[in-house]
Amino acid sequence: MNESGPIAGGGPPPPGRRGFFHACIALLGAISSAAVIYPIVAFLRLPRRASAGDTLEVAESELREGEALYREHAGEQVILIKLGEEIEVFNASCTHLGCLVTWDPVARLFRCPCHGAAFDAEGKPAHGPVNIPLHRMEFERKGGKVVLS
Amino acid sequence: MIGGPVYRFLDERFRLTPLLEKNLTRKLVPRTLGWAACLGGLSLVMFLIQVFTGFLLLMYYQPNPLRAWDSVMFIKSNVAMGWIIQRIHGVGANLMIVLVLMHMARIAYHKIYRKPREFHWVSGVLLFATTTFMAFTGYLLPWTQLSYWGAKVGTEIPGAVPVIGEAIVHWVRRGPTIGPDTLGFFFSLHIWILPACMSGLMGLHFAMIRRTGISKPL
Repeated sequence: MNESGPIAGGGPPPPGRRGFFHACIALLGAISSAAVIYPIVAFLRLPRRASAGDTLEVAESELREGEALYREHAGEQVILIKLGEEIEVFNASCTHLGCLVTWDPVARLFRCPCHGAAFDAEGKPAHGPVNIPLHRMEFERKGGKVVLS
Repeated sequence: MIGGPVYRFLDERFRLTPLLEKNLTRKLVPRTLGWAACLGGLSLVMFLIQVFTGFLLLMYYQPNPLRAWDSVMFIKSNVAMGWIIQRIHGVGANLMIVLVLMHMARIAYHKIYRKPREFHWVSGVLLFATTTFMAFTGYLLPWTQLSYWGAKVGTEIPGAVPVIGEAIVHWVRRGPTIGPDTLGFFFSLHIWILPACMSGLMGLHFAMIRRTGISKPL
């Protein structure tokens, strides 16, 4: 064993050295597995979409008296509506079972297509199976723009 | 890992040890076999990488002339690690063709295709053909200028067939020119028809190798 040196000699290497090599192999394996798994996990995360920005800006000139604008903000559908000088922004999900309501400019009601619920221009339940008003969204009016953040 | 409690649990239920010994740890291969004998296996590894990265790209790719290029750009710039997955899929296609050609060159050089392995070679040539068709159909999908002209020139080739040449060209293009239907056709070939053919051919290819064993170098 001494003549040919510890590597070429017979018998297993001492336990300390074997444990060290096992640890090295495990470490290399972990690093290479991480290099494969990390890009895959990162890829599967939800990507940033241009429309899912943190703020929504709508020019007030886009809003017309008595008409509604439909926009997406932070993954929710919102309705902007101008009545006189007042502007209101509502979450478009019906408070009954979450269908999207639409503005009926003739009856001046938000109508839900699913179960016939209706809300008045202030978001209060008008008729149908609801007793919770539409959720109002917080917004600011800055320099001729409606800003939701 | 092997010899650990998890392995013991599985081994008691599925008797893994004889399987592993026969196919991996005590598998006997000819002594003179070199690294070049791995080229076929490496082609399989490349195929699996292509299948997996392809699955990832498919989550965002849209096979529609109006959206194709945008969706590829979306993958490359907005999806985390999208650029590298897309690059692996694109470069991997070239690498796979190189590996398959090297594998075939070795088989030809060592005359391994001779009796009793003639059909290994036949199935291998079919696999090579499907591999190049995969590369050709995949090249159109990003819908760039290069893709468009590559597909145009490529689909002109069967036009050289007498009498029915033009009909073949129109059939392959799904019309007289490269358009939305060409993209849809190439997309369905690329993600479903050709991979399915390749999987079947590979099954045959490997089953035949298992039956006859690896050829011994002279």
